[in-house]
Amino acid sequence: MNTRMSRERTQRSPGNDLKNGVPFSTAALCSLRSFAAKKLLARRRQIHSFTLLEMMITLAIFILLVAAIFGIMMAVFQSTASLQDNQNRRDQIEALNGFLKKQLGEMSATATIGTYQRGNGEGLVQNGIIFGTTNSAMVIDAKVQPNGYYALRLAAFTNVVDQDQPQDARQVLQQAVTGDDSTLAWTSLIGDLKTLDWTFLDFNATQWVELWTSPSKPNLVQFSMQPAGELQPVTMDFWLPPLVATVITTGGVGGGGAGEGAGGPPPTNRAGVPRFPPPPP
Amino acid sequence: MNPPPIHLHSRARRGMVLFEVLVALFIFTMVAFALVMALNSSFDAATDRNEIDAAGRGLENQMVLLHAARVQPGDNDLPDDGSGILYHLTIVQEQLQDQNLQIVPNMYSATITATWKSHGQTEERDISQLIYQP
Repeated sequence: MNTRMSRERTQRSPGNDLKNGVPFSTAALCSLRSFAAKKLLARRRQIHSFTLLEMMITLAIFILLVAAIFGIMMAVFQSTASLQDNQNRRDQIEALNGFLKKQLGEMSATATIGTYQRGNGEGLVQNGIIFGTTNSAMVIDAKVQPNGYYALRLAAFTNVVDQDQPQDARQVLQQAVTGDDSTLAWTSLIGDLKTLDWTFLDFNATQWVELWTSPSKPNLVQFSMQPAGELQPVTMDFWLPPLVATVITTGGVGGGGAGEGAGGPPPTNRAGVPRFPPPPP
Repeated sequence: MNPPPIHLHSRARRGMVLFEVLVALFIFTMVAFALVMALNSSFDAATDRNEIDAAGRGLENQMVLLHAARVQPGDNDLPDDGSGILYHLTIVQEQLQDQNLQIVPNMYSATITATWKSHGQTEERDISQLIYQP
C-alpha cells in the first residue's frame, strides 16, 4: 500500500509527467501562467518607464514653452513700462503747460520779463527767463544734468522791504542765478530734455526773437522743448494780456456827500486794509 | 488570476498624453494670442491718446497765436506746425445783444479745426472762442 501511494505521488510530479510524455497537470499550468504574468508585468514596467528619446522630446517641448512664455512676459513688461513712461511724461508736460500759462498769463501790469545767459549758455541760446516785479520775481532755469540732458527748474525770490537799501527782486534773482548761488532753493519742473528754447513776439514786430531785454512785456511767449523720449518737439504758446497800471485812489471819491467817503481817513475793512469806494448807484 | 489587459491600457495612456499635449498647446496659443492682442490694443489706445493730446495742445497754441493779428471773418488754412496736423480757421461775426437789446459790435467767433490721419481714418477736433476786437 505504501509503495503504491508513493508511486502515484511520483507519477503526478511535473518532472515525471514531462519525462513520461504525459500532459501538464493543473498545478503545472498555474505555475506557468504565474511565470508568464510576471514576465508580462516586468515588460509593462519597462514600457511605463520613460525612454531617453521621450525625455529629450519632453525637455525640448518644455524649453520651447518656457522660452515662448518668457519672451511674451518680457514683451509685456517692457510695453507696460514704456506705456507708463509715456503717460508720466505726458502728465508732466500737461502740468508744465498749465503752470506756465497761469504764471505768465497772470503777471501784473508792472511786471517785466527778460532772458539771461549763464556763462556760455551751456549749449543754449538762453538759460531761462526771469519775470516779476521789483518786490517779487520768479526764474525758470535750464540746467545741464549729469547725463547730458537739461532739467527745467524754478526758483522764486521775494524782496524784504528795506528803505535804506532798496533792491530790485529781479536783479537779485538774476545775480544769484548767473552766479550759481548755492543758497537758492530750486524746485524741479521737468527733467531729461534734449533741448529747449524761449522765443518772444511783440505785435509791433514781425519776427520772433530769442533774447528779450526790453522793459516792456512781449505779447506772445513761445516755449518749445524736446523731451528725451519724444520724436517731435513740444511747443507751448502763451499770450500775455496787455495790462496798463492804474492808480486807484481811495477816499474823497464822488466829491462831497455824506457817508464814509466824505473827508477824514479812507474807509477800511476789519483787517485795516483800505476798501474800494462803493460803485455809483 | 487573470492578468490585466496590458496592451490596451498602455495604448490608451499614450493617446491621452498626446491629446493632453495638443490641448495644452492650443490653450497656450490662445492665451498668448489674447495677450498679444491686448498689448496691441493698449498700444493703439496710447498712440491715439498721444495724437489727441498733441492736437489739443496745437489747437490751444493756434488760438493763442490768433491774438497776434486782427481777426477778419472768413475761412482759411493755418500754416503747418510740422506735427502733421492740419488746422483750419473759421471766423464769423457774432450778433450778440446787450441788456438794451443793442447789437454788440466787433464780436467774433473763432473756430479752429484740427484734422489728422490715424489708422487710416480721419480724426477731427475743434475749439471755439469768442473774440472781442474793438
